[in-house]
Parts: sequence; C-alpha cells; structure tokens
Amino acid sequence: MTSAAGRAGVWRRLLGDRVSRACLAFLGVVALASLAAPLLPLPSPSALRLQDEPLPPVPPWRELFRRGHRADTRELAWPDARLAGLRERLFGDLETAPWLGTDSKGRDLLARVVWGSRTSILAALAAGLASLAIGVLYGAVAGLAGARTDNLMMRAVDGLQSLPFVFLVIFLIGIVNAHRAELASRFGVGREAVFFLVIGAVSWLTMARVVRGQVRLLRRAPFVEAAHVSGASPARILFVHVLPNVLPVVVASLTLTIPSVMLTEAFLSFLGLGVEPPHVSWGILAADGVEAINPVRIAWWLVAAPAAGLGSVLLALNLLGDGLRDALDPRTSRG
Amino acid sequence: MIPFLARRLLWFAATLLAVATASFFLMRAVPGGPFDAERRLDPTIERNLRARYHLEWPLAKQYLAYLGPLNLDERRARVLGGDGTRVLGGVLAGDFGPSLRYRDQTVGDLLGESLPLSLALGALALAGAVAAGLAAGIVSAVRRGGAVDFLLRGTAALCLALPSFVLASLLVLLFALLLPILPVAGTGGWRHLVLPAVALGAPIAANVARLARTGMLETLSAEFVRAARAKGLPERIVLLRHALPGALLPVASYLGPAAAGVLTGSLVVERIFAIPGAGSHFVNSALNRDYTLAMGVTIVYCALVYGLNTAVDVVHRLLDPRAAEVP
Amino acid sequence: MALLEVRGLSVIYGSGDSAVRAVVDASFDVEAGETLAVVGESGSGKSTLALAVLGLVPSPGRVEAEKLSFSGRDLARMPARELRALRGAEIAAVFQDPAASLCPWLPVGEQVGEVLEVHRGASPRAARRAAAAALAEVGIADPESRLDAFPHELSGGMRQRATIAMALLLGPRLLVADEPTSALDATVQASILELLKELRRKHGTALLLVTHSLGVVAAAADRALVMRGGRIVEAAPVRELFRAPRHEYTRELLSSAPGSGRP
Repeated sequence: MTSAAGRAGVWRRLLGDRVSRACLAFLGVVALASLAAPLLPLPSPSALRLQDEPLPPVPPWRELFRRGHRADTRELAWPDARLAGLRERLFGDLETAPWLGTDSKGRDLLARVVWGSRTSILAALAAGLASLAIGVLYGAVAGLAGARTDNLMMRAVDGLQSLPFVFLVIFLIGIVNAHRAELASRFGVGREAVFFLVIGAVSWLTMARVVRGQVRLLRRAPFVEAAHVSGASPARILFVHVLPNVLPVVVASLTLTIPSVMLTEAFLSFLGLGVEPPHVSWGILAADGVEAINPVRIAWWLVAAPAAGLGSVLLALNLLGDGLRDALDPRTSRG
Repeated sequence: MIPFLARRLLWFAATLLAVATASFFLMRAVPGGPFDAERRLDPTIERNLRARYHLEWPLAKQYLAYLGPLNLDERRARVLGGDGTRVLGGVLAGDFGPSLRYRDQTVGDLLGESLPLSLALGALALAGAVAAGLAAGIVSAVRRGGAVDFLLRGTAALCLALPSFVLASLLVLLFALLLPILPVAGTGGWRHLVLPAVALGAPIAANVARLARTGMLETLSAEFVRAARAKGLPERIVLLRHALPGALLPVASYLGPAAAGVLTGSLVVERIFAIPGAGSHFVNSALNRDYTLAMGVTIVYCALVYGLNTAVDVVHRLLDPRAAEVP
Repeated sequence: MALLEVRGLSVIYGSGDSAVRAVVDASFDVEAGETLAVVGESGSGKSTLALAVLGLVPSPGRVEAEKLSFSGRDLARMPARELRALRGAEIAAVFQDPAASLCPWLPVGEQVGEVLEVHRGASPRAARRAAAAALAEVGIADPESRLDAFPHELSGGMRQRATIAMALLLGPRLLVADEPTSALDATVQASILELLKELRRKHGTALLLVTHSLGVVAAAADRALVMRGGRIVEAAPVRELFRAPRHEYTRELLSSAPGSGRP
C-alpha cells in the first residue's frame, strides 16, 4: 500500500541506482534543450541555403560559432516567439558551427535534431495524456463494474488490441491526411494536432487493461472492504483508496507505452505519414538520411544523427523504465 | 481444443466484420473522399467505381454488396443466389474492388503479386529471429554472468533501442558503402532478402533472447531440475528435456506480438530495401489516397495477425499441458 | 564399514569474514538398511546436509569434508561423471514438494522410467513397463492409465508416491528423503510413511530422513541426529533419544512438541 513514506522510498531507490540516475539526468537535459530550443544559439532548422551537397560535420574544437544567423521562417507560437526574441538579444547573429553537419539543402543537422526532439516529446505527451485520461478511467470503471460489463469492456479492448495497430493508424491517417486542412478548419485544431490525436487514440489500451487488473485485485483488499463497511461512498473509495494504489502499475505502464509511441511517431514520420515539413521529426530526418545514401557522396552523418538521437533517448527511457519498475517493487532483484 | 478454435473463429469473424464496416463507412463519410460527389476523379476510375459500387443505391445495399452477400450484377440484385455464376461476391469472396490508383488492376491483383514476397520475407525474418534469439538466450542463461552473457545482453539491448528503420538504414550504410557483399535493394534471389530479414528480425531476436534467458534461468532454479539432477541424468538431458520447455513457453507466447511486429516493421524495411511487397503498397496507398487498396491490405494483414495469434495459442496449449485448463 | 560414512562435513557460503556455514563439522554414519532421521527446526542445516550427501549443494556454496564415502568410495573427490552414475542408481532422493519435483511438461511414466533408460540403457518400452510396475508397487491403482498423465493431473499423495517409485526404481541402497511428508495432508502423511517403511523392508534400502517433525522420527526412524545451527548436537537410537535425551536442546525440542510428556 503506497503512502507518503512509501513514495519517498521509491524515489530513494530510484535515485540510488546509478543507471537510473544517469538516464534521468540525460533525459532531463534532452527535455530542457527541447523546451529551450528557440533560445539556444542554434542555426535555424528550416532555413535553406544554396548548396548542392550535404556538408560534413565540423567538430566544435575546430570551429565553435559563426556569424550570419538567419531567423526562422516559420511562425512560432507565442512562448517560442518570446524565446526567439530573447535569443536575438542575447546572441545577435551568432550561431553554432555545423557540429553535426548539414543536409543537402543546407539545414543544420544539430538544430534539426534538437527541434525534432520536440515532436517526439509531443507524441509522448499525447500518448501519456490519453493513457492517463482515457485508459485509467476506462480501466478503473471496468475493474469496479460487475462481471458482465467488465467482460464486455475488456473484450472490446482485446479486440482492438488484437489488430496490428499501426495498420489501423496508417489507414486512419491516410483517410484523414488528405483532408486535414478541412478537418482542421472545421474543428479548429492544427494539422499536427490531428496526427497527435490519432496517436493518443490508440495508446490508451494497455493502460486500461493494466489498471483494470489492478483495480480488480484491490477490490477484494481488506482495506477497501473496511472503507466500504465504514460507509464511504463509491466515489470516495475510488479516489482516495483505489487510485493511489493503482499508481505503481500506471507508472510502469507509462514507461512501456511512451518509448513505443515515440517509436511509432518516428516510424510514421519516416513513412511520410506523420508530421510534415517545415516541422521536424527524427523520423523525417531518418528518411532524408536514407534517401541521401548513394555511393558517390557518403553523407553518413545524415543517418547517424537521428539514429543516435532516437537510439539514445529510447535506450534511456527503457533503462529508466526498468529502474522505475524495480524501484516500485522492492521484491524484484536484478538479473 | 475444438470449442476453443470455434470461439476464436467467431471472434475473428466479428473483428474483421467490424474493421470492414468501419472502413466502409469511414471512406464514405470523410469529406473529399473518393466517393464524395464533389470530387473530381479520373474518368476511368470514376466509371469503375460507379460500375462496381452502384453509388446511386441506398447506403445499406452498397454496404451489403461490398461485403458480399448481395451480388450486385448489372442492374439486378439477388440475395445469395447470384446469377448462377457467383454466389458470394465482395469482401467475403476476397474481392476488394479496383485500385483507385492503378487503373487497370484490382486490389486482388496487386496483393496477389506482392503478398507472397512479403510473406517470404516475414517468415524468414521470424524464423531467423526465433532461432537466433533462442540460442542466444539459452547460452546466456547457462553461462550466466560470464563474458558471453554480457556481450549477448548488450547486443540485445542495442537491437531493442534502435528502431527497425534506423537499424535498416545503418545496415544499408554498412553494406552499400563499406562491405558490398550483400545486395541492398530490390529482388532477385534469396540473397536480396538477407539484409531486410536481419533488419526486421533483430528486435524480435533481442526480445526472444531476453525471454528465453529469463525463462531458462527461472526454470534452471526450479526444484524439478534439481530433482532431475538427483536422478543422475546427464546435464544435456536435464537442459534439453526438462528445462528447455520452460524457456520455450514465454517465447511461444511472444510469437503473436512478434509476428505483428514483423508485419509492421516490413512497412519501413520494404521501403528502405526497395522490395515491392504488400507493405510498400500499403504505405503508398495511404499516401495516394488509394482507399480500396489500403483497406484490402489492412484486412488481409489483420487476418494474418489474427490467424498467427491463434496458431501460437494452439502451439502454446500443446507445449504446456497446464494451459489446457484456461479457455 | 558403514554404507555412508561422513566425517567433518561443512557447507560454506561465501568466504572470509562474511562466510556463512550452513553445516558445521558434521560426522555420522548410516548403516546399510537402517533409517537415520535428521531432525531440527528450520535453518538448522538439515536439508543442506542432505544436499551435501547428494552432491547437489547449489553453486555459491562449497562442501568441505574430511571424509565423505559411500560404500567405500570417496564422494568428495569423485569426478562428476561418476557421481552422476551413482545418483539415481545407488543413491536416490525424494524431495519435499512432489508438485515441484516433477517436471510439469513430461508425462509421469516417462519421468519415472527415465532412470532406467539413462542408467541401464533400457528401451523406452522396457522403461515404460518398469514404470508401470513401480507405480503399482507404491500403491497407485491402475498404473497403466497413469503413465501418460501429467503431474498436475494427479493428487498430492499420488504425486509423492510417484516420486518414491521414481527414486526406488533402480533399487538404490541409500534413499535421501528431505521432508517427504511435510507438503501433504495429515492422513496422507501416515500412508506415505507406511509405504516407505514397507519398501525399505522389501528392498533393504537405507533411509536418510530429514524432518522437523518428532512424530515422523518416532514413527519411522531407527536412529536420529539432532541438528541445531548447523551442528549435530546429539545422536542416538530413537528410543533412547525420547526416553533420556542428553543434550539440552533435544530436551527443549521434545518438551515443545505437542503431546509430549508421554514417555
């Protein structure tokens, strides 16, 4: 049973593990850089330059900064716009040299990798929110409901899960894609928002199943019976007693869903079904990189950069997920 | 076993029906879709559509015709009797209609020429992955804590962290530029399938290795293994006869999601290695708004995954006699 | 010469200052045909002692002994292959939880007959026949039909009978039984003990019986070792042990047993 002391214990165990600490730190840096992207003295991720070929990476010890920064051509949302303005004042027309090289259109790869992380994070957020909002509620309701309702609800989840999801997603996106503009204007959401909505719509299933399992277990727990007997209302039982104890499995489920969703987003963007230029996504970068492979000019950095970005973030997330699951269940011992 | 299979079949039919129905109504409902009256279509395609789908009929009849029981033939509609040449049409008969993009070909044609290739690739990837993963996992478990174990687990972690399209890209880089010993594009023999199969199967192999290792370790520490050793059985028999099924069971359970993973992975791998399989068609159909093709592939792939999952469950029940209790 | 001679046996986990000795300096004999009980509370090291005799102490643990000989042969320095030949054929084991001792995915008949195939090179058919006979001998009705059953399809008592059949199939001279009745219901316990006694009588098998229950000791053993904290604190014929316990701990054990106060 979780309590304030119990949760503190979880933190302690998590931070005590070296690997988990390192992963937290790394992901924290990534998140920070991502958030502060307009503020950083990076070149614009979408400014095109006249050049034929991708430029190879220039290591930072050879050249740190350059002049000649050209502002982003895109329209930014106001928090980003403010940050961009701040950047102008701080750094003027200074920008980093192409430490990771550029692509064939002259766009700086480091900047694109940093901005690309935003898309991955957005996908993770969309999935996380959907899982929390829809999944937890659905699972809790199914867990507390009578046998027949529960059965029905879970069959629905089973049915949806038994289909290869990416196909349905692609199919949905394919249909929705061509008409994103219309749908967007009709419902007032941005084009990308539709994409993220679709992602969210398919990621809550695992959470629902996991929560339902846990709620069913907790239902028979003595302390719930006691609360019931002492006259607590079902709502109170749900929110005060059941949900806090569902927290560990919710976190565990999120640690599995989020990397998977990031992967799906990159995957879809790679195929051209995700976000579109001028937005940046690691999937798009990977696609560009693959396209640019030919025996004449070996622009390996175009593939390596997004690969490193995706690989390192996914690895960190997976390791952190392992660490979190271990911290939540003190009985698990390491391999 | 029979009631189990029967239930599965029913569930399967229901699911496919739901998918087909949803697709049907979605396609007609979305503004600007191919059936939208205001859209301007290539006249050949439009004619095809009208001829096949009788867009002037009421929606319900169109739906039934699409599914199959209603055989719309020319100007007459007969229920389940047809005109003597076809009893069942539509999806139930495997007829998904004409491709909206490739004018002369039906979805059936396109699938017919591309699906076998994808299946071959998928089967190769899966088989290779399971074999490699099992071997790696078992060796890892038996030599637990050693250098070999560490190496194998590290490789597995790497394969899991890198998405299949990244892995595929890196493979292309490696073999196109540094070690031109295996072809990186197109078809033309089994050699062309090696790299794509590796790219597809690597994450599967990593998961299988992990599962096999854990399953083996747990089983090796079980009492019945100790009892088997107490009988003086040679270690080989203890490992292979008594312990191994314990490692196989979790792997068998994983095969269902593994197959689904191979199918989804094939979408990018086929594109990267330029293999004209069903996956490529599917992606293109989504990009080209070729709805009938998209739906055809979706339904076929859903059927595949479902069939595989059921097969896996059957194998699971055969392997572990205890599983027979659970319906 | 006794069947099993043990001098100065210790089982150590870890090393140096943090070493844990599960068994300390144990010395005893088992004569041919006799039943020696090893009794103590949990953690006394009695099960580890049994495992040490079998050579099955799990890996981080080491066995050190001045003498560990079976029928004159040195078990401590014997190569693994010879030890394996000995196990199952000359020295057999029955463990506490029959459900856990039987492989869940092999039919019972195969598991019972396996020892015949491995140690005597018998054909599967001969092994099957022998297994059926063995199952009949331990009192399992209709043994033929049970041969293809899986362990989870049998009751607890039948499973333990099957493991006993499995252990005695090749006529071993020493049977090591680690709490053979603890996982069973009370009524079944008595019948299993009876079975063990009868089989011993028929085959002349010596029995090293590890148990925490004095009732089992009284019912089945000729002599008993009392263990505590890894050491043997008393060794005596059973009747003597109950009548005139010499060590203080033995007296504690006896007095704390339910129904004690009887002579």
